[in-house]
Amino acid sequence: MAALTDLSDVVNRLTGGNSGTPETVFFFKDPRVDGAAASATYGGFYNSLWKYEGIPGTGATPTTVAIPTATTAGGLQQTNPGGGRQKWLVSLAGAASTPGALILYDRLLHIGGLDGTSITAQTVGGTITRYNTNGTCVGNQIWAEIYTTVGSTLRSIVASYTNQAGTSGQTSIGGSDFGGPNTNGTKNQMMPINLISGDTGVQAVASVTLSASTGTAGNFGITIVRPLAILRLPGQGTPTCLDLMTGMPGPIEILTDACLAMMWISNTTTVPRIFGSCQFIES
Amino acid sequence: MAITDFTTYKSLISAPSQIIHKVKAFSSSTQTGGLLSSWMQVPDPAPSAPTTAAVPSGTLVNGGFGQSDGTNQRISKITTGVQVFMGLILCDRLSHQGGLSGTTTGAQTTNLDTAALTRYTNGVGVWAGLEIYTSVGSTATTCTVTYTNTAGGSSTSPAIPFGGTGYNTAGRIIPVPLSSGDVGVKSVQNVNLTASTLTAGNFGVTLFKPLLWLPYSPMYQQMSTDALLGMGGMMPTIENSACLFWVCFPSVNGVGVGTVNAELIFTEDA
Repeated sequence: MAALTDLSDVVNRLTGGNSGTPETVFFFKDPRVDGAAASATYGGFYNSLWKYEGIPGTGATPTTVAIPTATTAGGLQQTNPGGGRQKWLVSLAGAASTPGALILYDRLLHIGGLDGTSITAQTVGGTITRYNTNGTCVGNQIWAEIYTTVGSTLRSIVASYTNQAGTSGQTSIGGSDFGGPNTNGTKNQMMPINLISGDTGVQAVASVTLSASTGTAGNFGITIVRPLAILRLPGQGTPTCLDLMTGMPGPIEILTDACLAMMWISNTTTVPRIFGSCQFIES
Repeated sequence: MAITDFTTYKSLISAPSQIIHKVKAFSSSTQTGGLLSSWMQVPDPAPSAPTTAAVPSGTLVNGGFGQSDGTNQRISKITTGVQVFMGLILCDRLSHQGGLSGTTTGAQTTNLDTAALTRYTNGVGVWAGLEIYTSVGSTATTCTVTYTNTAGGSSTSPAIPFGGTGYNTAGRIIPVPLSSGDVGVKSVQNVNLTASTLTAGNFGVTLFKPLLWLPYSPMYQQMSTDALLGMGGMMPTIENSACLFWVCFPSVNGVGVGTVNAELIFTEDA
Protein backbone atom coordinates (compact mmCIF):
# COMPACT_ATOMS: atom_id res chain seq x y z
CA MET A 1 0.00 0.00 0.00
CA ALA A 2 1.05 3.60 -0.56
CA ALA A 3 -0.20 6.89 0.78
CA LEU A 4 -2.00 9.43 -1.35
CA THR A 5 0.84 11.77 -2.13
CA ASP A 6 -0.68 14.94 -3.51
CA LEU A 7 -3.51 16.38 -5.60
CA SER A 8 -1.98 15.08 -8.81
CA ASP A 9 -1.96 11.58 -7.37
CA VAL A 10 -5.62 11.96 -6.43
CA VAL A 11 -6.53 13.21 -9.93
CA ASN A 12 -4.72 10.28 -11.46
CA ARG A 13 -6.43 7.72 -9.24
CA LEU A 14 -9.88 9.34 -9.54
CA THR A 15 -9.65 8.90 -13.28
CA GLY A 16 -8.52 5.30 -13.05
CA GLY A 17 -4.76 5.65 -13.19
CA ASN A 18 -2.25 3.95 -10.90
CA SER A 19 -4.80 1.30 -9.85
CA GLY A 20 -6.99 4.02 -8.36
CA THR A 21 -10.13 1.96 -9.01
CA PRO A 22 -12.54 4.89 -8.55
CA GLU A 23 -15.96 3.87 -7.31
CA THR A 24 -19.04 6.01 -6.80
CA VAL A 25 -21.91 4.56 -4.78
CA PHE A 26 -25.16 6.51 -4.97
CA PHE A 27 -27.66 5.77 -2.24
CA PHE A 28 -31.29 6.49 -1.53
CA LYS A 29 -32.98 6.13 1.85
CA ASP A 30 -36.77 6.20 1.80
CA PRO A 31 -38.57 6.79 5.11
CA ARG A 32 -40.30 3.44 4.99
CA VAL A 33 -39.53 0.38 7.07
CA ASP A 34 -40.98 -3.10 6.65
CA GLY A 35 -43.37 -1.81 3.98
CA ALA A 36 -44.86 1.00 6.08
CA ALA A 37 -44.06 4.62 6.85
CA ALA A 38 -41.14 4.98 9.22
CA SER A 39 -41.72 6.13 12.77
CA ALA A 40 -41.53 9.85 13.40
CA THR A 41 -38.16 11.31 14.26
CA TYR A 42 -37.46 13.65 17.17
CA GLY A 43 -35.31 16.74 17.04
CA GLY A 44 -31.84 16.16 18.38
CA PHE A 45 -32.26 12.41 18.61
CA TYR A 46 -30.75 9.67 16.49
CA ASN A 47 -32.42 7.36 14.02
CA SER A 48 -30.97 4.28 12.42
CA LEU A 49 -31.25 4.11 8.64
CA TRP A 50 -30.31 0.43 8.66
CA LYS A 51 -33.85 -0.69 7.95
CA TYR A 52 -34.95 2.26 5.84
CA GLU A 53 -35.88 0.97 2.40
CA GLY A 54 -33.96 2.29 -0.56
CA ILE A 55 -30.96 1.68 -2.76
CA PRO A 56 -29.00 -0.45 -2.01
CA GLY A 57 -31.68 -2.62 -0.41
CA THR A 58 -32.64 -2.54 3.24
CA GLY A 59 -30.94 -4.31 6.11
CA ALA A 60 -32.48 -7.11 8.14
CA THR A 61 -33.16 -7.16 11.85
CA PRO A 62 -30.26 -9.04 13.37
CA THR A 63 -30.91 -11.96 15.66
CA THR A 64 -27.80 -13.58 17.10
CA VAL A 65 -24.63 -11.55 17.36
CA ALA A 66 -22.99 -11.06 13.96
CA ILE A 67 -20.23 -9.13 12.23
CA PRO A 68 -21.63 -7.20 9.26
CA THR A 69 -19.33 -6.93 6.26
CA ALA A 70 -19.17 -5.12 2.94
CA THR A 71 -21.60 -7.62 1.46
CA THR A 72 -24.19 -7.44 4.22
CA ALA A 73 -27.58 -6.17 3.06
CA GLY A 74 -28.26 -2.75 4.51
CA GLY A 75 -24.73 -1.46 3.99
CA LEU A 76 -23.56 0.44 0.94
CA GLN A 77 -21.93 -2.76 -0.35
CA GLN A 78 -18.92 -1.01 -1.81
CA THR A 79 -16.24 -3.22 -3.31
CA ASN A 80 -13.22 -4.17 -1.26
CA PRO A 81 -9.82 -2.81 -2.28
CA GLY A 82 -7.72 -5.14 -4.36
CA GLY A 83 -4.03 -5.89 -4.68
CA GLY A 84 -3.14 -5.02 -1.11
CA ARG A 85 -4.28 -1.45 -1.60
CA GLN A 86 -6.14 0.83 0.82
CA LYS A 87 -9.56 2.26 0.05
CA TRP A 88 -10.32 5.92 0.75
CA LEU A 89 -13.51 7.90 1.03
CA VAL A 90 -12.80 11.19 -0.73
CA SER A 91 -16.28 12.71 -0.67
CA LEU A 92 -19.72 12.27 0.83
CA ALA A 93 -22.52 14.24 -0.81
CA GLY A 94 -26.25 14.30 -0.35
CA ALA A 95 -29.53 16.06 0.21
CA ALA A 96 -32.50 15.32 2.43
CA SER A 97 -36.15 16.20 2.46
CA THR A 98 -35.85 17.67 5.95
CA PRO A 99 -32.96 19.25 7.86
CA GLY A 100 -30.59 17.09 9.85
CA ALA A 101 -27.22 15.44 9.70
CA LEU A 102 -26.11 12.14 8.28
CA ILE A 103 -23.52 10.04 10.09
CA LEU A 104 -21.66 7.50 8.01
CA TYR A 105 -20.25 4.70 10.14
CA ASP A 106 -18.70 1.27 9.93
CA ARG A 107 -21.09 -1.20 11.53
CA LEU A 108 -18.70 -3.45 13.40
CA LEU A 109 -21.07 -5.76 15.26
CA HIS A 110 -24.76 -6.06 15.85
CA ILE A 111 -27.24 -8.20 17.70
CA GLY A 112 -31.03 -8.09 17.96
CA GLY A 113 -33.68 -9.90 19.91
CA LEU A 114 -33.08 -8.20 23.27
CA ASP A 115 -36.02 -7.57 25.58
CA GLY A 116 -37.27 -4.22 26.86
CA THR A 117 -38.79 -5.86 29.92
CA SER A 118 -35.86 -7.96 31.10
CA ILE A 119 -33.97 -6.60 34.08
CA THR A 120 -31.20 -9.16 34.10
CA ALA A 121 -27.98 -8.92 32.12
CA GLN A 122 -28.67 -9.67 28.46
CA THR A 123 -25.71 -11.21 26.67
CA VAL A 124 -24.17 -9.48 23.65
CA GLY A 125 -20.78 -11.10 23.05
CA GLY A 126 -19.17 -11.54 19.66
CA THR A 127 -15.75 -10.46 18.46
CA ILE A 128 -15.27 -7.45 16.21
CA THR A 129 -12.90 -7.89 13.27
CA ARG A 130 -12.18 -4.25 12.38
CA TYR A 131 -10.80 -1.57 14.71
CA ASN A 132 -10.30 -4.46 17.09
CA THR A 133 -6.95 -3.77 18.77
CA ASN A 134 -5.85 -1.53 21.59
CA GLY A 135 -4.35 0.80 19.03
CA THR A 136 -7.27 0.97 16.63
CA CYS A 137 -10.42 0.68 18.72
CA VAL A 138 -10.28 4.23 20.03
CA GLY A 139 -13.45 5.86 18.72
CA ASN A 140 -15.60 2.74 18.67
CA GLN A 141 -18.97 3.37 20.28
CA ILE A 142 -21.82 1.32 21.79
CA TRP A 143 -25.35 2.10 20.64
CA ALA A 144 -28.71 0.59 21.52
CA GLU A 145 -30.86 0.18 18.41
CA ILE A 146 -34.63 -0.31 18.46
CA TYR A 147 -36.08 -2.77 15.95
CA THR A 148 -39.57 -3.01 17.47
CA THR A 149 -40.78 -0.27 19.80
CA VAL A 150 -40.14 -0.98 23.46
CA GLY A 151 -42.13 0.34 26.39
CA SER A 152 -43.06 3.92 27.16
CA THR A 153 -41.54 3.97 30.64
CA LEU A 154 -38.19 5.74 30.66
CA ARG A 155 -35.36 3.61 32.05
CA SER A 156 -31.61 3.59 31.79
CA ILE A 157 -29.28 1.07 30.24
CA VAL A 158 -25.73 0.09 31.16
CA ALA A 159 -23.24 -2.01 29.26
CA SER A 160 -20.44 -4.23 30.46
CA TYR A 161 -17.67 -3.77 27.93
CA THR A 162 -13.98 -4.10 27.13
CA ASN A 163 -12.25 -0.76 26.72
CA GLN A 164 -9.40 0.48 24.52
CA ALA A 165 -6.81 -0.95 26.89
CA GLY A 166 -8.29 -4.42 26.68
CA THR A 167 -9.77 -4.17 30.17
CA SER A 168 -12.97 -6.17 30.39
CA GLY A 169 -15.76 -5.66 32.88
CA GLN A 170 -15.98 -1.92 32.40
CA THR A 171 -19.47 -0.69 33.25
CA SER A 172 -20.86 2.26 31.33
CA ILE A 173 -22.19 5.31 33.11
CA GLY A 174 -25.66 4.70 34.45
CA GLY A 175 -28.33 6.94 33.09
CA SER A 176 -28.04 6.37 29.37
CA ASP A 177 -31.70 6.80 28.55
CA PHE A 178 -33.66 3.86 27.24
CA GLY A 179 -37.38 3.48 26.60
CA GLY A 180 -39.82 6.13 27.50
CA PRO A 181 -42.14 8.33 25.52
CA ASN A 182 -41.11 8.77 21.93
CA THR A 183 -37.51 9.74 22.06
CA ASN A 184 -35.66 6.71 23.33
CA GLY A 185 -37.63 3.65 22.51
CA THR A 186 -39.41 4.01 19.18
CA LYS A 187 -38.66 1.72 16.29
CA ASN A 188 -35.51 2.73 14.38
CA GLN A 189 -34.15 4.95 17.13
CA MET A 190 -30.56 4.65 18.28
CA MET A 191 -29.23 5.72 21.65
CA PRO A 192 -25.55 6.04 22.55
CA ILE A 193 -24.35 4.26 25.67
CA ASN A 194 -21.89 6.43 27.54
CA LEU A 195 -18.45 5.12 28.43
CA ILE A 196 -16.98 5.74 31.85
CA SER A 197 -14.48 8.50 32.48
CA GLY A 198 -11.14 7.79 30.85
CA ASP A 199 -12.42 5.31 28.32
CA THR A 200 -12.15 6.25 24.66
CA GLY A 201 -13.07 3.11 22.79
CA VAL A 202 -14.66 -0.30 22.86
CA GLN A 203 -13.43 -3.70 21.80
CA ALA A 204 -16.33 -5.84 22.98
CA VAL A 205 -19.64 -5.70 24.81
CA ALA A 206 -20.34 -8.59 27.13
CA SER A 207 -23.87 -7.65 28.14
CA VAL A 208 -26.36 -4.87 28.70
CA THR A 209 -28.74 -4.41 31.62
CA LEU A 210 -31.85 -2.26 31.94
CA SER A 211 -32.52 -0.47 35.21
CA ALA A 212 -36.13 -1.74 35.16
CA SER A 213 -38.74 -2.86 32.69
CA THR A 214 -39.92 -0.39 30.08
CA GLY A 215 -43.26 -2.16 30.10
CA THR A 216 -43.05 -3.68 26.62
CA ALA A 217 -40.55 -6.24 25.36
CA GLY A 218 -40.28 -4.94 21.82
CA ASN A 219 -37.04 -5.90 20.13
CA PHE A 220 -33.84 -4.02 20.55
CA GLY A 221 -30.21 -4.69 19.90
CA ILE A 222 -26.70 -3.48 20.50
CA THR A 223 -24.55 -2.16 17.69
CA ILE A 224 -20.85 -1.35 17.90
CA VAL A 225 -20.28 1.63 15.67
CA ARG A 226 -17.22 3.33 14.27
CA PRO A 227 -18.25 6.82 13.09
CA LEU A 228 -16.43 7.87 9.93
CA ALA A 229 -17.96 11.08 8.61
CA ILE A 230 -20.77 13.54 9.30
CA LEU A 231 -22.60 15.30 6.49
CA ARG A 232 -24.56 18.34 7.55
CA LEU A 233 -27.78 18.72 5.56
CA PRO A 234 -29.12 22.04 6.77
CA GLY A 235 -32.23 22.43 4.70
CA GLN A 236 -34.90 20.58 2.81
CA GLY A 237 -33.49 19.60 -0.54
CA THR A 238 -30.36 21.58 0.17
CA PRO A 239 -27.45 19.57 -1.18
CA THR A 240 -24.11 19.47 0.56
CA CYS A 241 -20.81 17.90 -0.32
CA LEU A 242 -18.23 16.91 2.28
CA ASP A 243 -15.16 17.16 0.09
CA LEU A 244 -12.41 15.26 1.87
CA MET A 245 -9.75 16.09 -0.72
CA THR A 246 -9.85 19.82 -0.13
CA GLY A 247 -11.49 19.96 3.28
CA MET A 248 -11.08 18.50 6.71
CA PRO A 249 -10.49 15.87 7.94
CA GLY A 250 -9.01 14.63 4.67
CA PRO A 251 -9.51 11.26 2.96
CA ILE A 252 -10.93 8.65 5.33
CA GLU A 253 -9.73 5.08 5.09
CA ILE A 254 -12.42 2.48 4.52
CA LEU A 255 -11.23 -0.85 5.84
CA THR A 256 -11.57 -4.04 3.87
CA ASP A 257 -15.00 -5.56 4.57
CA ALA A 258 -16.30 -2.36 6.14
CA CYS A 259 -20.07 -2.35 6.47
CA LEU A 260 -20.89 1.28 5.67
CA ALA A 261 -24.19 2.20 7.27
CA MET A 262 -25.85 5.45 8.27
CA MET A 263 -27.76 7.11 11.07
CA TRP A 264 -29.65 10.37 11.07
CA ILE A 265 -29.64 13.21 13.60
CA SER A 266 -32.99 14.80 13.14
CA ASN A 267 -33.84 18.46 13.36
CA THR A 268 -37.58 17.90 13.22
CA THR A 269 -40.29 15.27 13.65
CA THR A 270 -40.46 14.81 9.90
CA VAL A 271 -38.84 11.64 8.64
CA PRO A 272 -36.15 12.20 6.03
CA ARG A 273 -35.88 11.00 2.47
CA ILE A 274 -32.18 11.09 1.65
CA PHE A 275 -30.22 10.90 -1.57
CA GLY A 276 -26.46 10.85 -1.57
CA SER A 277 -23.22 9.44 -2.83
CA CYS A 278 -19.84 8.26 -1.64
CA GLN A 279 -16.76 8.60 -3.82
CA PHE A 280 -13.90 6.17 -3.22
CA ILE A 281 -10.43 5.61 -4.60
CA GLU A 282 -7.67 3.14 -3.79
CA SER A 283 -4.00 3.63 -3.15
CA MET B 1 -6.49 6.15 -19.79
CA ALA B 2 -6.43 8.52 -16.90
CA ILE B 3 -5.56 12.13 -16.19
CA THR B 4 -2.05 11.81 -14.92
CA ASP B 5 -1.69 14.95 -12.82
CA PHE B 6 -3.21 18.25 -11.86
CA THR B 7 -1.31 20.19 -14.50
CA THR B 8 -2.78 17.97 -17.19
CA TYR B 9 -6.21 18.35 -15.65
CA LYS B 10 -5.93 22.14 -15.82
CA SER B 11 -4.79 22.03 -19.41
CA LEU B 12 -7.68 19.78 -20.38
CA ILE B 13 -10.20 22.15 -18.85
CA SER B 14 -8.59 24.98 -20.79
CA ALA B 15 -9.19 23.08 -24.00
CA PRO B 16 -12.41 21.15 -23.52
CA SER B 17 -13.40 18.52 -26.02
CA GLN B 18 -16.90 20.00 -26.19
CA ILE B 19 -19.22 22.35 -24.37
CA ILE B 20 -22.92 21.61 -24.13
CA HIS B 21 -25.51 24.22 -23.19
CA LYS B 22 -28.78 22.85 -21.98
CA VAL B 23 -31.97 24.62 -20.97
CA LYS B 24 -34.92 22.93 -19.36
CA ALA B 25 -37.98 24.95 -18.43
CA PHE B 26 -39.97 22.80 -16.07
CA SER B 27 -43.74 22.85 -16.24
CA SER B 28 -43.87 20.69 -13.11
CA SER B 29 -44.44 21.85 -9.57
CA THR B 30 -42.39 20.47 -6.75
CA GLN B 31 -43.83 17.90 -4.37
CA THR B 32 -42.66 17.09 -0.87
CA GLY B 33 -39.29 15.40 -0.93
CA GLY B 34 -39.88 14.24 -4.45
CA LEU B 35 -37.55 13.88 -7.38
CA LEU B 36 -38.35 15.45 -10.74
CA SER B 37 -37.16 14.31 -14.13
CA SER B 38 -36.04 16.78 -16.77
CA TRP B 39 -36.81 14.36 -19.57
CA MET B 40 -40.15 15.74 -20.73
CA GLN B 41 -39.41 19.38 -20.06
CA VAL B 42 -39.28 22.07 -22.74
CA PRO B 43 -37.81 23.69 -24.74
CA ASP B 44 -34.62 21.97 -25.67
CA PRO B 45 -36.52 19.97 -27.01
CA ALA B 46 -39.24 18.01 -25.25
CA PRO B 47 -39.59 14.47 -26.48
CA SER B 48 -42.83 12.60 -26.48
CA ALA B 49 -43.52 10.10 -23.73
CA PRO B 50 -42.09 6.70 -24.52
CA THR B 51 -44.42 3.92 -25.47
CA THR B 52 -42.72 0.64 -26.21
CA ALA B 53 -39.64 -0.42 -24.32
CA ALA B 54 -36.59 1.25 -25.81
CA VAL B 55 -33.05 2.34 -25.17
CA PRO B 56 -33.32 6.12 -25.51
CA SER B 57 -30.95 7.91 -27.80
CA GLY B 58 -28.79 10.63 -26.35
CA THR B 59 -29.27 12.87 -29.35
CA LEU B 60 -30.61 16.34 -28.87
CA VAL B 61 -33.66 15.80 -31.02
CA ASN B 62 -34.72 12.91 -28.86
CA GLY B 63 -34.42 14.73 -25.56
CA GLY B 64 -30.84 13.96 -24.60
CA PHE B 65 -28.07 16.49 -24.19
CA GLY B 66 -26.76 15.81 -27.68
CA GLN B 67 -23.11 15.53 -26.76
CA SER B 68 -20.70 13.95 -29.22
CA ASP B 69 -19.02 10.67 -28.47
CA GLY B 70 -15.40 10.73 -27.37
CA THR B 71 -12.59 8.72 -25.87
CA ASN B 72 -12.61 8.50 -22.08
CA GLN B 73 -14.81 11.54 -21.92
CA ARG B 74 -15.64 13.20 -18.60
CA ILE B 75 -17.50 16.24 -17.36
CA SER B 76 -14.95 18.45 -15.70
CA LYS B 77 -16.96 21.55 -14.99
CA ILE B 78 -20.65 22.45 -14.82
CA THR B 79 -22.19 25.89 -14.63
CA THR B 80 -25.85 26.17 -13.69
CA GLY B 81 -28.51 28.73 -13.03
CA VAL B 82 -31.77 27.67 -11.43
CA GLN B 83 -34.93 29.36 -10.22
CA VAL B 84 -35.50 27.04 -7.27
CA PHE B 85 -32.74 26.01 -4.89
CA MET B 86 -32.21 22.35 -5.62
CA GLY B 87 -29.86 19.46 -5.91
CA LEU B 88 -29.17 18.28 -9.44
CA ILE B 89 -28.14 14.73 -10.20
CA LEU B 90 -26.81 14.10 -13.69
CA CYS B 91 -27.92 10.69 -14.87
CA ASP B 92 -27.53 8.42 -17.86
CA ARG B 93 -30.95 7.30 -19.06
CA LEU B 94 -30.47 3.68 -20.00
CA SER B 95 -33.87 2.22 -20.80
CA HIS B 96 -37.44 3.45 -20.67
CA GLN B 97 -41.00 2.63 -21.58
CA GLY B 98 -44.46 4.07 -20.99
CA GLY B 99 -48.13 3.29 -21.28
CA LEU B 100 -48.74 2.06 -17.75
CA SER B 101 -52.01 2.98 -16.07
CA GLY B 102 -52.79 4.46 -12.69
CA THR B 103 -56.08 2.61 -12.52
CA THR B 104 -55.02 -0.93 -13.36
CA THR B 105 -54.48 -3.19 -10.42
CA GLY B 106 -52.47 -6.37 -10.54
CA ALA B 107 -49.28 -6.93 -12.47
CA GLN B 108 -49.00 -4.59 -15.45
CA THR B 109 -46.78 -5.89 -18.21
CA THR B 110 -47.66 -3.48 -20.99
CA ASN B 111 -44.47 -2.62 -22.89
CA LEU B 112 -42.45 -4.63 -20.37
CA ASP B 113 -39.86 -6.14 -19.94
CA THR B 114 -37.75 -3.03 -20.17
CA ALA B 115 -35.29 -2.96 -23.04
CA ALA B 116 -31.99 -4.65 -22.22
CA LEU B 117 -29.24 -2.39 -20.92
CA THR B 118 -26.60 -1.40 -23.43
CA ARG B 119 -24.47 0.52 -20.91
CA TYR B 120 -23.68 -0.56 -17.32
CA THR B 121 -24.96 -3.93 -18.44
CA ASN B 122 -24.24 -5.67 -15.14
CA GLY B 123 -26.85 -3.43 -13.53
CA VAL B 124 -24.68 -2.44 -10.56
CA GLY B 125 -25.72 1.03 -9.45
CA VAL B 126 -28.58 1.15 -11.95
CA TRP B 127 -31.77 2.56 -10.46
CA ALA B 128 -35.35 2.01 -11.56
CA GLY B 129 -37.80 4.89 -11.37
CA LEU B 130 -41.53 5.19 -11.98
CA GLU B 131 -41.75 8.25 -14.23
CA ILE B 132 -45.10 9.99 -14.54
CA TYR B 133 -45.79 11.41 -18.00
CA THR B 134 -49.46 12.32 -17.50
CA SER B 135 -50.66 12.80 -13.95
CA VAL B 136 -52.19 9.77 -12.31
CA GLY B 137 -54.92 9.94 -9.69
CA SER B 138 -55.03 11.77 -6.38
CA THR B 139 -55.96 8.65 -4.46
CA ALA B 140 -52.94 7.23 -2.72
CA THR B 141 -52.06 3.60 -3.08
CA THR B 142 -48.92 1.52 -3.10
CA CYS B 143 -47.19 -0.56 -5.71
CA THR B 144 -44.43 -3.08 -6.04
CA VAL B 145 -42.02 -3.58 -8.90
CA THR B 146 -40.68 -6.94 -9.99
CA TYR B 147 -37.23 -6.75 -11.51
CA THR B 148 -34.12 -8.72 -12.38
CA ASN B 149 -31.27 -7.96 -10.02
CA THR B 150 -27.56 -7.82 -10.73
CA ALA B 151 -27.16 -11.53 -10.04
CA GLY B 152 -29.82 -12.34 -12.63
CA GLY B 153 -32.40 -13.33 -10.04
CA SER B 154 -35.96 -12.11 -9.76
CA SER B 155 -36.68 -9.64 -6.97
CA THR B 156 -39.69 -7.67 -5.89
CA SER B 157 -39.33 -4.22 -4.39
CA PRO B 158 -40.87 -3.25 -1.07
CA ALA B 159 -44.27 -1.59 -1.42
CA ILE B 160 -43.87 2.08 -2.29
CA PRO B 161 -46.37 4.92 -2.27
CA PHE B 162 -47.89 5.75 -5.64
CA GLY B 163 -50.67 8.18 -6.55
CA GLY B 164 -52.00 10.79 -4.18
CA THR B 165 -50.26 13.93 -3.00
CA GLY B 166 -46.57 13.83 -3.65
CA TYR B 167 -46.69 10.85 -5.93
CA ASN B 168 -49.00 11.65 -8.79
CA THR B 169 -48.08 14.64 -10.94
CA ALA B 170 -46.46 14.68 -14.35
CA GLY B 171 -42.73 15.15 -14.13
CA ARG B 172 -42.24 13.11 -10.96
CA ILE B 173 -39.84 10.20 -11.00
CA ILE B 174 -40.24 7.90 -8.01
CA PRO B 175 -37.15 5.81 -7.31
CA VAL B 176 -37.86 2.17 -6.65
CA PRO B 177 -36.29 0.83 -3.44
CA LEU B 178 -34.60 -2.49 -3.89
CA SER B 179 -35.14 -5.76 -2.15
CA SER B 180 -32.77 -6.49 0.72
CA GLY B 181 -29.30 -7.32 -0.55
CA ASP B 182 -29.76 -5.94 -4.06
CA VAL B 183 -27.44 -3.28 -5.47
CA GLY B 184 -28.97 -2.58 -8.87
CA VAL B 185 -31.44 -3.44 -11.59
CA LYS B 186 -30.91 -5.11 -14.95
CA SER B 187 -34.51 -5.06 -16.16
CA VAL B 188 -38.07 -4.65 -14.92
CA GLN B 189 -40.76 -7.24 -15.55
CA ASN B 190 -43.92 -5.74 -14.09
CA VAL B 191 -45.45 -3.03 -11.93
CA ASN B 192 -48.22 -3.98 -9.57
CA LEU B 193 -50.58 -1.38 -8.08
CA THR B 194 -52.42 -2.39 -4.94
CA ALA B 195 -55.44 -0.25 -5.83
CA SER B 196 -56.49 2.30 -8.41
CA THR B 197 -55.41 5.91 -8.10
CA LEU B 198 -58.71 6.67 -9.94
CA THR B 199 -57.03 8.35 -12.90
CA ALA B 200 -55.21 6.34 -15.51
CA GLY B 201 -52.71 8.97 -16.56
CA ASN B 202 -49.60 7.58 -18.14
CA PHE B 203 -46.48 6.43 -16.42
CA GLY B 204 -43.56 4.20 -17.19
CA VAL B 205 -40.41 2.61 -15.92
CA THR B 206 -37.07 4.32 -16.45
CA LEU B 207 -33.74 2.65 -15.75
CA PHE B 208 -31.02 5.18 -15.09
CA LYS B 209 -27.53 5.46 -13.68
CA PRO B 210 -26.76 8.43 -11.43
CA LEU B 211 -23.39 9.80 -12.51
CA LEU B 212 -22.62 12.82 -10.40
CA TRP B 213 -24.10 15.35 -8.00
CA LEU B 214 -24.10 19.02 -8.58
CA PRO B 215 -24.08 19.80 -4.89
CA TYR B 216 -24.70 23.52 -4.94
CA SER B 217 -27.41 25.16 -7.03
CA PRO B 218 -28.40 28.42 -5.34
CA MET B 219 -31.51 30.13 -6.54
CA TYR B 220 -31.18 32.90 -9.14
CA GLN B 221 -27.41 32.71 -9.10
CA GLN B 222 -25.05 31.29 -11.63
CA MET B 223 -22.82 28.68 -10.08
CA SER B 224 -19.78 27.13 -11.68
CA THR B 225 -18.51 23.92 -10.18
CA ASP B 226 -15.31 22.05 -10.85
CA ALA B 227 -15.73 18.28 -10.79
CA LEU B 228 -12.45 17.66 -9.04
CA LEU B 229 -12.45 20.48 -6.53
CA GLY B 230 -16.15 21.19 -6.12
CA MET B 231 -18.03 17.99 -6.72
CA GLY B 232 -16.07 15.71 -4.48
CA GLY B 233 -14.08 14.15 -7.26
CA MET B 234 -17.02 12.60 -9.05
CA MET B 235 -15.48 12.34 -12.49
CA PRO B 236 -17.12 9.32 -14.09
CA THR B 237 -16.50 8.45 -17.69
CA ILE B 238 -19.43 9.51 -19.85
CA GLU B 239 -20.14 6.50 -21.99
CA ASN B 240 -20.54 6.93 -25.72
CA SER B 241 -24.23 7.29 -26.66
CA ALA B 242 -25.04 8.25 -23.07
CA CYS B 243 -28.49 9.76 -22.78
CA LEU B 244 -27.97 12.48 -20.19
CA PHE B 245 -30.78 14.02 -18.21
CA TRP B 246 -31.28 15.72 -14.86
CA VAL B 247 -32.98 14.32 -11.82
CA CYS B 248 -33.79 17.25 -9.54
CA PHE B 249 -34.35 17.34 -5.78
CA PRO B 250 -35.99 20.72 -5.07
CA SER B 251 -35.77 22.49 -1.75
CA VAL B 252 -39.33 23.78 -1.60
CA ASN B 253 -42.76 22.29 -2.07
CA GLY B 254 -45.63 23.28 -4.28
CA VAL B 255 -43.90 25.82 -6.48
CA GLY B 256 -43.01 25.87 -10.13
CA VAL B 257 -39.50 24.67 -10.74
CA GLY B 258 -38.89 27.17 -13.51
CA THR B 259 -35.80 27.00 -15.62
CA VAL B 260 -32.62 25.01 -15.21
CA ASN B 261 -29.80 26.37 -17.35
CA ALA B 262 -26.61 24.41 -17.58
CA GLU B 263 -23.28 24.51 -19.34
CA LEU B 264 -21.34 21.25 -19.26
CA ILE B 265 -17.65 21.23 -20.08
CA PHE B 266 -16.40 17.89 -21.35
CA THR B 267 -12.78 16.79 -21.46
CA GLU B 268 -11.11 13.69 -22.81
CA ASP B 269 -8.28 11.99 -20.95
CA ALA B 270 -4.91 12.97 -22.35
